[in-house]
Amino acid sequence: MNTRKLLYANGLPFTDPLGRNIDKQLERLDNKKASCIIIDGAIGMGKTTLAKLVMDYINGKNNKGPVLLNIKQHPQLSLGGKEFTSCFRETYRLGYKVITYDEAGDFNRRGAIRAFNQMINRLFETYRGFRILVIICLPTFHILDSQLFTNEIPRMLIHITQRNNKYANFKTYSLSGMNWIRYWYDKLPLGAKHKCYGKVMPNFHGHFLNLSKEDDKALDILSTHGKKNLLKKTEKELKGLVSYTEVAEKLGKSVVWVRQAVYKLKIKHKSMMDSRKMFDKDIIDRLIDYQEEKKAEVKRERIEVR
Amino acid sequence: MVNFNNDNTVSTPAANIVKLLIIEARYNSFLAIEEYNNKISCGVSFNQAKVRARLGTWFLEHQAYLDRTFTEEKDKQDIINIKKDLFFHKGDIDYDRLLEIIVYLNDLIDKLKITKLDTKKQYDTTDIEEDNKANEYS
Repeated sequence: MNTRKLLYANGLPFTDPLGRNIDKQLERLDNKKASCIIIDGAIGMGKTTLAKLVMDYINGKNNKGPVLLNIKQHPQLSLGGKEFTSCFRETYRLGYKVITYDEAGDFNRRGAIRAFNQMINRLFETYRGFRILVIICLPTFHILDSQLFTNEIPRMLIHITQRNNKYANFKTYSLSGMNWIRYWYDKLPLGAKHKCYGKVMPNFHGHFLNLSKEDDKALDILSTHGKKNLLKKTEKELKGLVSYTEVAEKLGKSVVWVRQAVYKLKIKHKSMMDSRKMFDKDIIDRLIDYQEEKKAEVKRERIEVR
Repeated sequence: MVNFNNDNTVSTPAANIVKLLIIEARYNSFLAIEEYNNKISCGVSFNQAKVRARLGTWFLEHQAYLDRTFTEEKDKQDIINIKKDLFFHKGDIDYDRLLEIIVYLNDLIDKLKITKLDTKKQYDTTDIEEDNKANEYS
C-alpha cells in the first residue's frame, strides 16, 4: 500500500535540531522578547507545509489541536497581508502561540513590499507583548527591511533547498548567518545572487516530511483559494471591470438606481464573477450622461409647468 | 623581528614588544632543536650548546613572570631545576629532559595566550540562540 511516512524516529515530522531550536524561540517569547522565524525558498518548495508542521508542533506543546485549514476559518495561517492583523487578533483570542504570514503572491503588487515591511515593523513594535511567534514565508528574505535586522527580530532562517513528494531538505541559519547572506547578496553579481546561501555555513541541515494526504489537500484548497481571489482581482484590474456596487459608489447613487438605469439603457454585462455582473468601465461615463439627461429633463418639465 | 632602531618600536607598548621577543625566542629555539634533531638522527655527534643557549633566552624572557606567579614550593623547584639544567649543567643534558623543558615553556606561553590558537568560544553551533549570543546579538 502506498502510505506516506509522516514522522521520523524522533517522533516529529522534521529532523532533530529544529524542534530544539523552536523550543528556544518559545523560551524567548516567555521572556517577552520578539521572535520571528523566516522560511524562504523558491515557489513550490514547501514553505507553507513546513510552517504548518512547525505550528502543529507548537500547538501540540500548548495542548492545542492542529492548525485549522478551513477556507472560512484559518486564524493561524494568514494568506496575504490584508488578513494578517485580523488573523493575529484571532490567534491571540484563541490562545495560540504561533501565527504564519504566507505572502501568497502578495509581492506581485506594486508597493506591496514597502507596505509589508511597514506592517511587520509595526507588528513587532506593537504586539511584542502578545507573546506570539511569527513565522514569515517568503520566496526570498532579502526583501525584508534592514530595520528588522537592526532590531534583531528575525532569529532563524530556514532556507528550503530541495523538495520531492515525500520530503524536503532545508538549511538553517542564525541571525549572524542571515546578515552574512545579505552581505553576499549585495556583493554578488546579478545572475549569481542565489549563490549567497552557499557562501555561508548553515548552523544545521535538516529534512521535513510532507503532510498527510488530507492535510495536503486542505492546504492546497486553502492556498489556491487565496490565490484565486488574487487572480480574480488581477483579472478585474486588467480588464477594467466594475460591479454594480462600485459603479454606485463612484456615482454617489444607490445600487437600485444603478440597476434601473442599466436596465433602461439596456447595457449588457461583460462577464460574471462570483455570480456578480461585471461591466466595462465605460458604463460610468454612460451613466453620468444619463444622469445629466435626467437632470435636464426635470429642469425642462419645471419650466413648462411654470 | 623587533627592530629597536625603528621609531615605531619606541611608540609600541612594551608588553607587545615582549610578546614579540618571546615568539622570536621560541622560533629561534625551534630552529636550533630542528638542527640538533637533524644532526643526531643522522648519527653525527653534535652538542646541545646552541639549543640550550636559545632555550635559555626563551626562559629568561619569562623569568620575572615565573618568579612572580609560581609561589608554590613544587613550582619553584621546577623553575630552579630548569635554570640549573639550562645554565649551570656541564655537558649535554638528557634528551628527554630537554623535551620536558620545551614542553614546559610551550605550555607557559599557551597559558599566557601568546600562542593560543583556540581562543574562539566553543558552543553548540546547531543551537541557533547560542550562535546568536556568541555573535553578540541580544
